[in-house]
Amino acid sequence: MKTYQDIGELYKDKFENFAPEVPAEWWNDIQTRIVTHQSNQLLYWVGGAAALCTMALCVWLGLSDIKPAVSHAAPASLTDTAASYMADNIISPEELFAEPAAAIHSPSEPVAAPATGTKTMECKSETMAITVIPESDSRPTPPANNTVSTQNNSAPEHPVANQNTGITPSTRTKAAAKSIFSNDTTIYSGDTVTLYVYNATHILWSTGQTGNTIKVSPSYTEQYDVSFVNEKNTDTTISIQVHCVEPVKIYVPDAFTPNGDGLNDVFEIKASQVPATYSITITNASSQKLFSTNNITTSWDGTFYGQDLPHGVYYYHISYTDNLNKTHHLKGDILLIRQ
Amino acid sequence: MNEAQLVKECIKGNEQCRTMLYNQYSKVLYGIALRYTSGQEDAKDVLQEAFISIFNHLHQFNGTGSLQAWMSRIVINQALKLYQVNKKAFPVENYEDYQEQISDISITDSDKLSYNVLLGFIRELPDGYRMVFNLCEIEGYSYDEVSGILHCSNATCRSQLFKAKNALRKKVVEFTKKESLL
Repeated sequence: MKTYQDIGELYKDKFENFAPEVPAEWWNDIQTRIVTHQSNQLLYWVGGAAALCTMALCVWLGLSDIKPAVSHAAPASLTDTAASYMADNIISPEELFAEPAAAIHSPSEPVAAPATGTKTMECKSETMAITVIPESDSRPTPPANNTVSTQNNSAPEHPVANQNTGITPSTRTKAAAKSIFSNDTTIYSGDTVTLYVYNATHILWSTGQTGNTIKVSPSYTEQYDVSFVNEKNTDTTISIQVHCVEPVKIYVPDAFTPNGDGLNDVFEIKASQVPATYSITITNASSQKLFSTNNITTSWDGTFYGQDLPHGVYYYHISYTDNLNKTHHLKGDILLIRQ
Repeated sequence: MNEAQLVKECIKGNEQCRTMLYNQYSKVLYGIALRYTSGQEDAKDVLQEAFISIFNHLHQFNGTGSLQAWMSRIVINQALKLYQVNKKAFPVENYEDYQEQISDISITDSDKLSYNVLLGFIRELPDGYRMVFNLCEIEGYSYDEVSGILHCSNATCRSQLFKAKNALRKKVVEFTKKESLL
């Protein structure tokens, strides 16, 4: 044994090759926090390209949108309003066109030819056809466009236009949105799912409820019927199936004794049903991979390359996909017991 | 795969190579982190932050020195950062006052003086003592270098080192005496 005069020397010699075991799980924490420069650059490129594409698309859409808005939407809305005015017998169509037309079109844009007599007639019939729409309170508000905003702006100036508040011309001219409803769905039994019917009126669910949505949590596969009046104003009844499946339950033991006595000799994972995909990796404290398999029926006997591993704590990481195609990760430690 | 290739792959973001590099050096670096901190939690923080810094700045490693030395410096810098955060007043004392206290008793290495025991003694030291002792005695920096690192005077650095060494010597001697009596 070496004798030291200087405590510093003793420490220097002792700690020169000091390399204690590092707990295995620390690496995972570190890994998640490392930035990969190249992938970042790639992300920027992809992001930039996407942004450019979006801008290009917006410009293109905007261009193609503006022209029809000027030539079709505006007259349509005008004639629409005109129709209601005419119905109210308050003012003549000629009077009506004068003001909103000026409000809608910028000076540089040539005003589309004011509606002729025939056009007014067309629109009148259009208005007639869609008078049922305002009843549907669930219909999503359409996005505001030029026509709507200008119409609204001009509304206070025009006493008659106030009568139209809430039923903007553009909502009227657009065909009523199609009724939509939940598709058949699959859930874990006992979980809650929300079923819906939108853009419909007179909704009645088989549960007796009348709202746009209902929340159900069946234990077994069940069918829900709902009757409603759809966008074409016809009575409809549909059925929505809610399939129930049992979640996969995985049982992981926390210790095993590979001594050949027939009791807990192997580290065995049990599952309530075979998962769609499955993998397990067993490592030691220094993250060395000791065992891995994709087969849930293959169990670990506590050996590594045929050598019995010593008594101690080992770590497992299980990944599996259940019958709803959801991936789960289980991590933990197991005690290998050797007497 | 040699070290240069491994480093290149790690920079590219190869997960497997990162794990390999980590497995190769984590123990040695953890050893350093333990020496510079007073508890395992701090050592863990230092090691983790250091490794994150290592992987995020690996492209800056120019390959002139050894990779381990470069990584060790990052760990030490990380520990110093933590020390600066927790720093209490660095007591200023005169080196001369402690000169005569240095004992001449020699210490014989034995199996009893395990890493754990010696590490425990280092960890019990006040933070400032531990830094100076590690930097001067184990890492082998000069007083000037250490005073630069710790932002203190050369004399302060010496006095801290002697106090640290005295304290450690006392602990080790007491321990060996106790062990030999048992």
